[in-house]
Amino acid sequence: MSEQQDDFLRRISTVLDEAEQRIDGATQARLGAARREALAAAKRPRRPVWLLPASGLAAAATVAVLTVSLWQVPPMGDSFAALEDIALLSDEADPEFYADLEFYAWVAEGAPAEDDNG
Amino acid sequence: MDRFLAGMERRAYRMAWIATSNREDALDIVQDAMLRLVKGYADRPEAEWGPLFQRIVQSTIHDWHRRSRVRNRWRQWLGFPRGAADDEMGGDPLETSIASHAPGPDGSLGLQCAIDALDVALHALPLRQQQAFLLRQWEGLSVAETATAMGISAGSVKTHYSRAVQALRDKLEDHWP
Repeated sequence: MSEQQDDFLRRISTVLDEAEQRIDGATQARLGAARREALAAAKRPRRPVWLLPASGLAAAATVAVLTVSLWQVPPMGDSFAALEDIALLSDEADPEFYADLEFYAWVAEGAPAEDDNG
Repeated sequence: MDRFLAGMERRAYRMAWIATSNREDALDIVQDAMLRLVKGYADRPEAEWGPLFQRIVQSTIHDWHRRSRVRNRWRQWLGFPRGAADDEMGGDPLETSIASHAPGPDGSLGLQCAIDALDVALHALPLRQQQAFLLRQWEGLSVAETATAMGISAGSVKTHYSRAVQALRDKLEDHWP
Protein backbone atom coordinates (compact mmCIF):
# COMPACT_ATOMS: atom_id res chain seq x y z
CA MET A 1 0.00 0.00 0.00
CA SER A 2 1.46 3.37 -0.99
CA GLU A 3 2.12 6.18 1.44
CA GLN A 4 -0.31 8.33 -0.52
CA GLN A 5 -3.04 5.73 -0.09
CA ASP A 6 -2.26 5.37 3.62
CA ASP A 7 -2.64 9.11 4.02
CA PHE A 8 -5.90 9.10 2.10
CA LEU A 9 -7.32 6.31 4.27
CA ARG A 10 -6.21 8.02 7.50
CA ARG A 11 -7.97 11.16 6.35
CA ILE A 12 -11.15 9.20 5.75
CA SER A 13 -11.00 7.71 9.24
CA THR A 14 -10.48 11.17 10.72
CA VAL A 15 -13.47 12.55 8.83
CA LEU A 16 -15.62 9.60 9.93
CA ASP A 17 -14.58 10.16 13.57
CA GLU A 18 -15.43 13.83 13.27
CA ALA A 19 -18.83 13.05 11.73
CA GLU A 20 -19.59 10.75 14.66
CA GLN A 21 -18.80 13.57 17.08
CA ARG A 22 -21.07 15.93 15.15
CA ILE A 23 -24.25 13.87 15.46
CA ASP A 24 -26.87 16.38 16.51
CA GLY A 25 -28.39 16.45 19.97
CA ALA A 26 -31.86 15.42 18.83
CA THR A 27 -30.50 12.30 17.13
CA GLN A 28 -28.39 11.46 20.17
CA ALA A 29 -31.49 11.77 22.32
CA ARG A 30 -33.35 9.42 19.96
CA LEU A 31 -30.50 6.93 20.18
CA GLY A 32 -30.61 7.06 23.96
CA ALA A 33 -34.37 6.52 23.92
CA ALA A 34 -33.96 3.60 21.50
CA ARG A 35 -31.40 2.04 23.84
CA ARG A 36 -33.67 2.39 26.87
CA GLU A 37 -36.57 0.97 24.89
CA ALA A 38 -34.50 -2.02 23.79
CA LEU A 39 -33.38 -2.69 27.36
CA ALA A 40 -36.94 -2.37 28.65
CA ALA A 41 -38.41 -4.57 25.90
CA ALA A 42 -36.00 -7.33 26.76
CA LYS A 43 -37.54 -7.52 30.23
CA ARG A 44 -41.06 -8.04 28.90
CA PRO A 45 -42.39 -11.59 28.63
CA ARG A 46 -41.62 -13.43 25.40
CA ARG A 47 -44.32 -14.38 22.88
CA PRO A 48 -45.97 -17.72 23.72
CA VAL A 49 -44.47 -20.67 21.86
CA TRP A 50 -47.83 -21.63 20.35
CA LEU A 51 -47.85 -18.33 18.40
CA LEU A 52 -44.55 -19.01 16.61
CA PRO A 53 -46.03 -20.97 13.66
CA ALA A 54 -48.13 -17.90 12.79
CA SER A 55 -45.16 -16.06 11.31
CA GLY A 56 -44.29 -19.09 9.18
CA LEU A 57 -47.85 -19.31 7.87
CA ALA A 58 -47.85 -15.59 7.10
CA ALA A 59 -44.60 -15.95 5.17
CA ALA A 60 -45.96 -18.87 3.16
CA ALA A 61 -49.16 -16.94 2.41
CA THR A 62 -47.17 -13.92 1.25
CA VAL A 63 -45.05 -15.96 -1.14
CA ALA A 64 -48.16 -17.76 -2.45
CA VAL A 65 -49.95 -14.46 -3.14
CA LEU A 66 -46.89 -13.06 -4.91
CA THR A 67 -46.47 -16.20 -6.99
CA VAL A 68 -50.08 -16.12 -8.16
CA SER A 69 -49.84 -12.38 -8.86
CA LEU A 70 -46.72 -12.80 -10.95
CA TRP A 71 -48.28 -15.69 -12.84
CA GLN A 72 -51.47 -13.84 -13.67
CA VAL A 73 -50.14 -10.34 -14.43
CA PRO A 74 -47.43 -9.91 -17.08
CA PRO A 75 -44.56 -7.96 -15.48
CA MET A 76 -43.90 -4.46 -16.79
CA GLY A 77 -40.17 -4.73 -16.15
CA ASP A 78 -37.90 -7.67 -16.80
CA SER A 79 -39.05 -11.04 -15.58
CA PHE A 80 -35.71 -11.79 -13.92
CA ALA A 81 -36.29 -8.98 -11.46
CA ALA A 82 -39.63 -10.50 -10.51
CA LEU A 83 -38.08 -13.91 -10.05
CA GLU A 84 -35.37 -12.38 -7.90
CA ASP A 85 -38.07 -10.92 -5.66
CA ILE A 86 -39.50 -14.39 -5.19
CA ALA A 87 -36.05 -15.68 -4.34
CA LEU A 88 -35.58 -12.91 -1.82
CA LEU A 89 -38.99 -13.47 -0.32
CA SER A 90 -38.46 -17.19 0.05
CA ASP A 91 -35.05 -16.72 1.71
CA GLU A 92 -35.14 -18.20 5.18
CA ALA A 93 -32.60 -15.69 6.49
CA ASP A 94 -35.22 -13.07 7.36
CA PRO A 95 -38.55 -14.66 8.31
CA GLU A 96 -39.81 -11.60 10.22
CA PHE A 97 -39.77 -9.57 7.04
CA TYR A 98 -42.01 -11.93 5.15
CA ALA A 99 -44.60 -11.72 7.87
CA ASP A 100 -44.79 -7.98 7.32
CA LEU A 101 -48.09 -7.99 5.46
CA GLU A 102 -48.84 -4.42 6.56
CA PHE A 103 -45.97 -3.32 4.38
CA TYR A 104 -47.62 -4.65 1.24
CA ALA A 105 -50.88 -3.02 2.18
CA TRP A 106 -48.97 0.22 2.62
CA VAL A 107 -47.46 -0.11 -0.85
CA ALA A 108 -50.82 -0.95 -2.41
CA GLU A 109 -52.39 2.13 -0.85
CA GLY A 110 -49.78 4.37 -2.45
CA ALA A 111 -46.93 5.11 -0.15
CA PRO A 112 -45.53 8.65 -0.05
CA ALA A 113 -42.00 9.31 -1.29
CA GLU A 114 -39.31 8.53 1.24
CA ASP A 115 -38.06 11.24 3.54
CA ASP A 116 -34.34 11.74 3.18
CA ASN A 117 -33.58 14.12 5.99
CA GLY A 118 -30.07 13.75 7.33
CA MET B 1 -25.31 -3.69 28.75
CA ASP B 2 -26.58 -0.10 28.92
CA ARG B 3 -23.03 1.23 29.07
CA PHE B 4 -21.91 -1.04 26.26
CA LEU B 5 -24.72 0.07 23.95
CA ALA B 6 -24.18 3.73 24.83
CA GLY B 7 -20.62 3.33 23.62
CA MET B 8 -21.65 1.69 20.36
CA GLU B 9 -24.81 3.48 19.32
CA ARG B 10 -23.40 6.55 17.63
CA ARG B 11 -21.03 4.66 15.38
CA ALA B 12 -23.72 2.14 14.54
CA TYR B 13 -26.04 5.01 13.67
CA ARG B 14 -23.44 6.55 11.38
CA MET B 15 -23.00 3.23 9.56
CA ALA B 16 -26.73 2.85 9.18
CA TRP B 17 -27.08 6.46 8.05
CA ILE B 18 -24.40 5.98 5.38
CA ALA B 19 -26.21 2.86 4.15
CA THR B 20 -29.70 4.37 4.12
CA SER B 21 -29.25 8.16 3.82
CA ASN B 22 -32.37 8.32 5.96
CA ARG B 23 -32.38 9.31 9.64
CA GLU B 24 -35.50 7.42 10.63
CA ASP B 25 -34.41 4.24 8.89
CA ALA B 26 -30.97 4.50 10.47
CA LEU B 27 -32.49 4.95 13.93
CA ASP B 28 -34.79 1.98 13.34
CA ILE B 29 -31.84 -0.17 12.33
CA VAL B 30 -29.89 0.74 15.46
CA GLN B 31 -32.86 0.16 17.74
CA ASP B 32 -33.63 -3.17 16.09
CA ALA B 33 -30.01 -4.25 16.44
CA MET B 34 -29.95 -3.22 20.11
CA LEU B 35 -33.13 -5.15 20.75
CA ARG B 36 -31.81 -8.28 19.07
CA LEU B 37 -28.57 -8.11 21.04
CA VAL B 38 -30.29 -7.55 24.38
CA LYS B 39 -32.94 -10.21 23.81
CA GLY B 40 -30.68 -12.83 22.34
CA TYR B 41 -27.25 -12.37 23.81
CA ALA B 42 -27.34 -10.38 27.05
CA ASP B 43 -26.36 -13.47 29.00
CA ARG B 44 -23.23 -14.03 26.91
CA PRO B 45 -19.82 -12.87 28.19
CA GLU B 46 -19.33 -9.14 27.76
CA ALA B 47 -16.28 -9.71 25.56
CA GLU B 48 -18.57 -11.27 22.94
CA TRP B 49 -21.00 -8.36 22.78
CA GLY B 50 -18.87 -6.26 20.42
CA PRO B 51 -18.52 -8.85 17.63
CA LEU B 52 -22.14 -9.93 18.10
CA PHE B 53 -23.42 -6.37 17.88
CA GLN B 54 -21.37 -5.74 14.74
CA ARG B 55 -22.78 -8.88 13.17
CA ILE B 56 -26.33 -7.90 14.07
CA VAL B 57 -25.96 -4.31 12.85
CA GLN B 58 -24.53 -5.42 9.50
CA SER B 59 -27.20 -8.08 9.13
CA THR B 60 -29.94 -5.56 9.92
CA ILE B 61 -28.53 -3.10 7.38
CA HIS B 62 -28.42 -5.90 4.82
CA ASP B 63 -32.04 -6.79 5.55
CA TRP B 64 -33.01 -3.12 5.16
CA HIS B 65 -31.24 -3.03 1.81
CA ARG B 66 -33.09 -6.11 0.56
CA ARG B 67 -36.41 -4.71 1.70
CA SER B 68 -35.63 -1.44 0.00
CA ARG B 69 -34.85 -3.18 -3.28
CA VAL B 70 -38.08 -5.17 -3.19
CA ARG B 71 -40.06 -2.08 -2.21
CA ASN B 72 -38.62 -0.11 -5.12
CA ARG B 73 -39.56 -2.91 -7.50
CA TRP B 74 -43.11 -2.92 -6.20
CA ARG B 75 -43.29 0.83 -6.50
CA GLN B 76 -42.19 0.58 -10.12
CA TRP B 77 -44.73 -2.14 -10.82
CA LEU B 78 -47.45 -0.08 -9.26
CA GLY B 79 -46.43 3.03 -11.15
CA PHE B 80 -44.95 5.04 -8.29
CA PRO B 81 -41.65 6.87 -8.66
CA ARG B 82 -38.62 5.25 -7.06
CA GLY B 83 -38.13 6.22 -3.45
CA ALA B 84 -34.38 6.59 -3.18
CA ALA B 85 -33.37 10.22 -3.11
CA ASP B 86 -30.29 9.73 -5.24
CA ASP B 87 -32.47 8.45 -8.03
CA GLU B 88 -34.31 11.72 -8.01
CA MET B 89 -31.34 14.06 -7.79
CA GLY B 90 -30.09 15.63 -10.95
CA GLY B 91 -26.42 15.44 -11.87
CA ASP B 92 -23.59 13.94 -9.85
CA PRO B 93 -24.58 13.78 -6.15
CA LEU B 94 -20.95 14.25 -5.09
CA GLU B 95 -20.52 17.39 -7.18
CA THR B 96 -23.86 18.67 -5.91
CA SER B 97 -22.80 18.09 -2.31
CA ILE B 98 -19.47 19.85 -2.73
CA ALA B 99 -21.01 22.73 -4.64
CA SER B 100 -23.42 23.35 -1.75
CA HIS B 101 -20.50 24.35 0.53
CA ALA B 102 -18.74 27.67 0.25
CA PRO B 103 -14.92 27.51 0.31
CA GLY B 104 -13.13 28.94 3.35
CA PRO B 105 -10.97 32.09 3.31
CA ASP B 106 -7.98 30.07 2.14
CA GLY B 107 -10.01 28.50 -0.65
CA SER B 108 -10.13 25.10 1.03
CA LEU B 109 -13.35 23.23 1.60
CA GLY B 110 -14.34 22.84 5.22
CA LEU B 111 -14.70 19.77 7.37
CA GLN B 112 -18.47 19.63 6.98
CA CYS B 113 -18.01 19.57 3.23
CA ALA B 114 -15.55 16.70 3.60
CA ILE B 115 -18.04 14.82 5.77
CA ASP B 116 -20.88 15.34 3.30
CA ALA B 117 -18.74 14.39 0.31
CA LEU B 118 -17.53 11.26 2.07
CA ASP B 119 -21.08 10.30 3.02
CA VAL B 120 -22.18 10.65 -0.60
CA ALA B 121 -19.21 8.67 -1.91
CA LEU B 122 -19.67 5.89 0.66
CA HIS B 123 -23.42 5.72 0.07
CA ALA B 124 -22.80 5.30 -3.66
CA LEU B 125 -20.72 2.17 -3.07
CA PRO B 126 -22.38 -1.24 -3.38
CA LEU B 127 -23.53 -2.24 0.11
CA ARG B 128 -20.96 -5.02 0.59
CA GLN B 129 -18.09 -2.72 -0.39
CA GLN B 130 -19.43 -0.05 1.94
CA GLN B 131 -19.68 -2.48 4.86
CA ALA B 132 -16.27 -4.05 4.27
CA PHE B 133 -14.63 -0.64 4.03
CA LEU B 134 -16.21 0.79 7.17
CA LEU B 135 -15.54 -2.29 9.26
CA ARG B 136 -11.93 -2.61 8.14
CA GLN B 137 -10.91 1.00 7.92
CA TRP B 138 -13.07 2.70 10.54
CA GLU B 139 -13.79 -0.02 13.06
CA GLY B 140 -10.29 -1.45 12.61
CA LEU B 141 -11.52 -5.03 12.37
CA SER B 142 -9.25 -7.69 10.88
CA VAL B 143 -10.19 -9.44 7.67
CA ALA B 144 -11.41 -12.44 9.67
CA GLU B 145 -13.44 -10.29 12.07
CA THR B 146 -14.97 -8.40 9.16
CA ALA B 147 -15.84 -11.67 7.45
CA THR B 148 -17.61 -12.82 10.61
CA ALA B 149 -19.50 -9.54 10.97
CA MET B 150 -20.64 -9.64 7.35
CA GLY B 151 -21.23 -13.38 7.18
CA ILE B 152 -19.02 -13.79 4.10
CA SER B 153 -15.61 -15.30 3.35
CA ALA B 154 -12.30 -13.60 4.07
CA GLY B 155 -11.52 -13.59 0.36
CA SER B 156 -14.75 -11.72 -0.38
CA VAL B 157 -13.90 -9.17 2.30
CA LYS B 158 -10.55 -8.50 0.65
CA THR B 159 -12.16 -8.09 -2.74
CA HIS B 160 -14.91 -5.77 -1.48
CA TYR B 161 -12.46 -3.70 0.53
CA SER B 162 -10.02 -3.32 -2.33
CA ARG B 163 -12.74 -2.24 -4.74
CA ALA B 164 -14.12 0.20 -2.19
CA VAL B 165 -10.74 1.85 -1.67
CA GLN B 166 -10.24 2.20 -5.41
CA ALA B 167 -13.71 3.65 -5.91
CA LEU B 168 -13.27 6.15 -3.08
CA ARG B 169 -9.87 7.25 -4.38
CA ASP B 170 -11.34 7.75 -7.83
CA LYS B 171 -14.17 9.84 -6.44
CA LEU B 172 -12.60 11.76 -3.61
CA GLU B 173 -8.91 12.27 -4.22
CA ASP B 174 -9.50 15.22 -6.51
CA HIS B 175 -11.38 16.90 -3.68
CA TRP B 176 -8.89 15.84 -1.00
CA PRO B 177 -5.51 16.68 -2.53
